[in-house]
Amino acid sequence: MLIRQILAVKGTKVVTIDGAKTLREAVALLTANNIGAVIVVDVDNKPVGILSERDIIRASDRLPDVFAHRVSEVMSRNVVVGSPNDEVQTVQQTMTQKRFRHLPIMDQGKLAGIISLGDIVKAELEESQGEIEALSSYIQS
Amino acid sequence: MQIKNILATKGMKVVTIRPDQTLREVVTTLATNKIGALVVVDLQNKPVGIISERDVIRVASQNEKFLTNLVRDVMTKDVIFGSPNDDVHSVQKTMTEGHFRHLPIVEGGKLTGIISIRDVVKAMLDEYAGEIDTLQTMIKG
Repeated sequence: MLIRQILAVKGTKVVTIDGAKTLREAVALLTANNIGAVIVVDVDNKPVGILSERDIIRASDRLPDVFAHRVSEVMSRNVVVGSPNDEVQTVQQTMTQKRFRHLPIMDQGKLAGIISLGDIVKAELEESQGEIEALSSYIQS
Repeated sequence: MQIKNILATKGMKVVTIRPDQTLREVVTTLATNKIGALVVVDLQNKPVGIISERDVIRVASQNEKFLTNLVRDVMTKDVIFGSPNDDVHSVQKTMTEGHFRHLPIVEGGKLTGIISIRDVVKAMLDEYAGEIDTLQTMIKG
């Protein structure tokens, strides 16, 4: 199964924020959208980082007056991105090993969606269940 | 497969906090232990709630002085607990439908572990992979 099949169901909506915005704005954005991470983009809408609930929690542990800090100071850089043509299983292994939960998907240089580890394992579980059912009915026939 | 099989590999360590501690202590404990949620226990070590990164972020969006808030006012109180004898499939269904990521495991009124949705689906995917392997062997004869 490919990432594009998950995106086809989930949709391509991505919540983004400008790195110059403050954590005050980032927290409001996460809460309003009921999401756990937001993609940080530059003026050309290219992803330059990702800001998760965890990044904000850690920042609030170490920085006084955390809300006044800019997103770009706290976000995770060196973000791993995926492609719609990536194999779901490979992506799952990468996310598990490198311990991150959100993967921005790029298609021809443009942000084309975001996939969470939850989306990935849901797709994998369904695929495995389907395979088991098919094999079982093949054996019984 | 049962929850106790996961606990056997994962270990029984649970990081806890008390209801009268502050969110400042919560963020420090989360950051130090690199985890996403803490089980809230009373003086008898009985679990009375759970507090997650999401709970903290929600409060932060309403109150800039959130670090002085008390755990008891922020934690999720109506927590669902699991038992070591629960089947992983039913636990996965409960967690997915209830949209929660951490399940404290209680045995005889005592906290014996915590399971994340990641642990549960990893166990299920391993189980399915074994099942698919067996079925394919049967077909090849």
